[in-house]
Amino acid sequence: MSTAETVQVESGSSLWHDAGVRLRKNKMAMLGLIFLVFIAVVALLTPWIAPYSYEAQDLYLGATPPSAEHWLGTDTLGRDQLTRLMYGSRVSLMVGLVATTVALLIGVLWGTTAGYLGGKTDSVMMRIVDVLYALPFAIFIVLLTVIFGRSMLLLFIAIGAVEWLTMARIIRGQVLGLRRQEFVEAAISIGLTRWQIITRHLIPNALGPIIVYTTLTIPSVILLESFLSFLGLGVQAPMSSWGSLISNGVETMEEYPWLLVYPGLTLSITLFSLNFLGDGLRDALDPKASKD
Amino acid sequence: MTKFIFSRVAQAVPVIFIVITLTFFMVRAAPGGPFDADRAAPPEVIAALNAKYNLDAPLYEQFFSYLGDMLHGDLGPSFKYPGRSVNEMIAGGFPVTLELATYAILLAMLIGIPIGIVAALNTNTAKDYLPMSFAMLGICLPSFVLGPMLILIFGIWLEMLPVSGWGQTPGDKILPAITLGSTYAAYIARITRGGMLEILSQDYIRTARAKGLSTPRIVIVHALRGGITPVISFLGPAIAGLIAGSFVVESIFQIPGLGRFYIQAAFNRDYTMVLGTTIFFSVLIVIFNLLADLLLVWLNPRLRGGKS
Amino acid sequence: MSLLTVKDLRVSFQTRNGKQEAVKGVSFELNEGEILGIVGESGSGKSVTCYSLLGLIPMPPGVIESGEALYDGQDLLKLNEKALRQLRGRKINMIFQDPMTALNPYMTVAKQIIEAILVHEKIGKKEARQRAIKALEEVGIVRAAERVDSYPHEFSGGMRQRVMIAMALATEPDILIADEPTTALDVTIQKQILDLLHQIQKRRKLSIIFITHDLAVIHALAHRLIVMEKGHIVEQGVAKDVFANPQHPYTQKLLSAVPDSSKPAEYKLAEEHALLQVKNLRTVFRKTHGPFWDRKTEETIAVNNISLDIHYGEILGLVGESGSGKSTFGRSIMRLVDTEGGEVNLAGRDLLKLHNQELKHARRDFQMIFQDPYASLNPRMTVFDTLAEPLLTHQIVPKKELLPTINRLMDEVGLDRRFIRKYPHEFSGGQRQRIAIARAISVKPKLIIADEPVSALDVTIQAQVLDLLLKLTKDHGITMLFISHDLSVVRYLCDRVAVMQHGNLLELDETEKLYADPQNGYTRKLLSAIPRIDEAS
Repeated sequence: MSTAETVQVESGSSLWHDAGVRLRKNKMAMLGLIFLVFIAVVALLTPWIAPYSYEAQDLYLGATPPSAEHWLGTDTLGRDQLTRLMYGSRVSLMVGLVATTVALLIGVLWGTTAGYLGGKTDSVMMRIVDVLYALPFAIFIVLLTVIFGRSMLLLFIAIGAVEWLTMARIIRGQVLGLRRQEFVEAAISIGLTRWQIITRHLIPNALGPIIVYTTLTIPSVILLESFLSFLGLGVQAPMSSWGSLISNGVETMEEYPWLLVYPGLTLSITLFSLNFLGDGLRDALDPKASKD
Repeated sequence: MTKFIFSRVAQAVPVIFIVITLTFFMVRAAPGGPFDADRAAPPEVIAALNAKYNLDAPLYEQFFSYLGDMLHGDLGPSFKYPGRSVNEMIAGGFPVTLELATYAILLAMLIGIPIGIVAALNTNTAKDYLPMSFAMLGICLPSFVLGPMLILIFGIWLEMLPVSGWGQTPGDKILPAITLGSTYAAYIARITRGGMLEILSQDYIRTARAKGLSTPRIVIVHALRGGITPVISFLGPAIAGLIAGSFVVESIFQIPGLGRFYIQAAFNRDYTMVLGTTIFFSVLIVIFNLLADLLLVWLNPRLRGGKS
Repeated sequence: MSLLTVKDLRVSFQTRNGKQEAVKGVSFELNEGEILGIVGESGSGKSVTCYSLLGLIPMPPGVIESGEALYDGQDLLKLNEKALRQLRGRKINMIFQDPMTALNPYMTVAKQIIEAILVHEKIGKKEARQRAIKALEEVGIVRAAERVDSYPHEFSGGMRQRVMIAMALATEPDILIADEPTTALDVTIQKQILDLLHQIQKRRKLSIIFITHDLAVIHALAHRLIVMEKGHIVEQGVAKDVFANPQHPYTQKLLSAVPDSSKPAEYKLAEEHALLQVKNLRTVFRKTHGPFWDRKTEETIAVNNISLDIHYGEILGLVGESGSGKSTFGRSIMRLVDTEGGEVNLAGRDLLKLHNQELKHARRDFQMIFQDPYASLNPRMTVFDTLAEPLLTHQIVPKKELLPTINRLMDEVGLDRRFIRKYPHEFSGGQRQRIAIARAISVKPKLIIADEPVSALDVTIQAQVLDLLLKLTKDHGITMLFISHDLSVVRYLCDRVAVMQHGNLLELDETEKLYADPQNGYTRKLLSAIPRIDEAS
């Protein structure tokens, strides 16, 4: 590329780059991100770094307040609370991620198809979403667990099946909006194939809102799992999740409040972090903000 | 307007039908019969029970007879509590749940809407950040964390308020209502803020200012109607959420409401009770969604006229 | 007699990139019973000047740094909010650009006007209602007593602007500030509103500040003129003098930017072969609504059996007001919307009969330039990528020739080569439209369809882009269909002009013939509505 007439080319700053700069300036979002990375690493490494086995009981010990041996204390069966919390984080975060991925996959597929094809297909597909939307899913999930018993797989599918609806709506809205944009019409005029238009023009522009919404879906999924586990319909002992730990903590909160406080705090701080990160991403990626 | 109501009701009917069908066949498809759990029941007893509850008939017949009963408002007998009908249990528990949910949503609106308005009028100042941080707290403290913590603080440590029951000791309704309502107060505050910000940037607000109107008048007369619309569309899903939330709050505070019955029925595998209550809740939610939609249309003169 | 005296007004805004001055020391007077025109392009500070007088700029981020504005013995800039409110809407009223959004959609017209009266005067509701009806009658709304209880959406755009004016007049103000009151309206409606303002001003001896970007609009109306550029007043004086003998180079540039002449001779072409033959083209939009058992289909015939030819090398203008179907006609040829029938023969091939793969190849021959330069470029692609896409798709040049080719394209549309790695949001509106033009010519098309390519741009930029289009069509022998609502621009650019209304083609003739002697009644109405600057008046 080095011809005689090469000029100094100025580098541009892409919208992604601008958004990154804005996000880094958002302290709450960055704090949230740091906490999330921390808790994810801990959860990932739990089998190797957990101080005790999650099954190990010490009935003689019983419930003890936080101490040097047991940083977060022990529960009524003498199980180490920190260990249980770490294993619980694995479950809760995994449910959050897997169910969100399920929601994302179905939602993106459904939403882009409806939005891009438009017309009758679109109205039929979105009518289906409307009908499903009107169903009381939290109640349905309770029903499902009653019928099919409590299994993690069911939990993933059930939660994913609820959350994809909003995802599909948002993505369809994006695609519909983008399809009317003149730059997509320009791409059609140039003679690009449908696939090229979707991959080069639609997806890069719809990605921002998708990322934001995904970030905001994870906390609501985690909340839903905790809700079910709290009601005793989710994860079973000796496995734990934040919801089941909180549920156990509630039973004995008068005598041993630390059994409620730590899992409650962990859940809330995680939800905080995800929400702040999601809000921060929305502010950073908002194309309106980049106009001034 | 009447045309719109008819078309929306017509859309709600198939939804309700789908709910009933889905729930009915899901419950029937469950592995094992409803009486399997009762250990050592002789086969002839089970046969008698099956005959009594019409379970030996073909599935579609059962479905249609269930539908028929339901149209007469009969949700059938409870499998686990012989002699009691699902109707009786709903009639016993629902008023309590309804009262709790009403307090919660009123609380949520009375707190959420003013906070949202104040924040929208003072964007990027302390009057915006502070209430919005509280709203975030409300969203990130789910009822099953907030409820026990409130019990711990106000009930056990400070001994200010009773920690369980419903209508037995004075003040025992306060903590449950706060627990159930706080999340929605937080959502409503955020939604109100967003809606108001959107409306306050509209040209017609500038017109109102140019007319010389005062800020309170602009907010109340010109901005609120449009700014509140997203809150109303949120009310439909909020009702669904409140019902699910009542499961938790009722079991934390030991309130004899329908939500608690429902969870107990779920644990007891009381199929008819679960089936009946699910249908009841679903119809309720569909109706509330419908009401919220109608309210939205009624508030918007462009839609009210029937023109698109 | 001076009614309002503004001295050394300075306004700035606090932005992400620090403090930015919007108004830099502006002084002017408004006399009793005069129309003062304030003219400038976007960012000139013309609106901010007037808004800050009434405390209508958002503060923060806006700050009034200094200055005074004397009205009726008081300094408006020093009044507190309450005192200012007493004047705002009573003595000094405003009307705005977009009548569609400036009225509250949730309130009836009656309520909005009555509110405007009652907030300042202690009279009964009935009396206020009578005043509202009278005000509506004054601005020419027929059956005002019946229509006063309608909602804004039940009025057309022009009628809504009349309602706005009625609301502003209802309190019998001294000063009316009109901020681009006709910019969002069609040209025939624009003329009606301008005439109305003129009448009212005469009848009521009202003082009007008329803010506009369009010199032609203000020409017949203003007594005195202020020209603003980048926060400064560069020229002010009696309107006639300013138009006849502009002193400041910027005013001269603005005046010369409004093309009101025929196409320059050097660009004229006289070949009579048809490149594009459109026969009986018909496009219909269908909208279904209602519940499934009672579906109703509403049909809008956007293009109604139109036939026309476009000659080799010519620029054919297509004019019409909003809703005339002119854009849809262009999009139908581009195959961006589905057509119902007819033929579109480009160099002997019917475009409407082409299928997928054939169509994609054929698209090389016909390209489009869109109206909104902010929307027509993919915000996530650099200029290089945007321009490389068509070149690679149609294999115009081998890969290693890509960079030199794109550099040449940049030169041709007058953009700096250094900017090829930049993204659309880093360019101004005019520059973006140049990128869009480069994209259209990159594949060396035979035909370009330009849909209002300059209407989103400032007038001085418009002139530059128009000249660029003229030059490029000549250099490359490109034929163009130029769609516009702006008859002056069309006259400057086009060899022949077609006029559309309600989906029908009314008239097609050589430009000068059509402008001199329009055959169709609607064309005549359209032409007489064009605001122009002619020395005679």
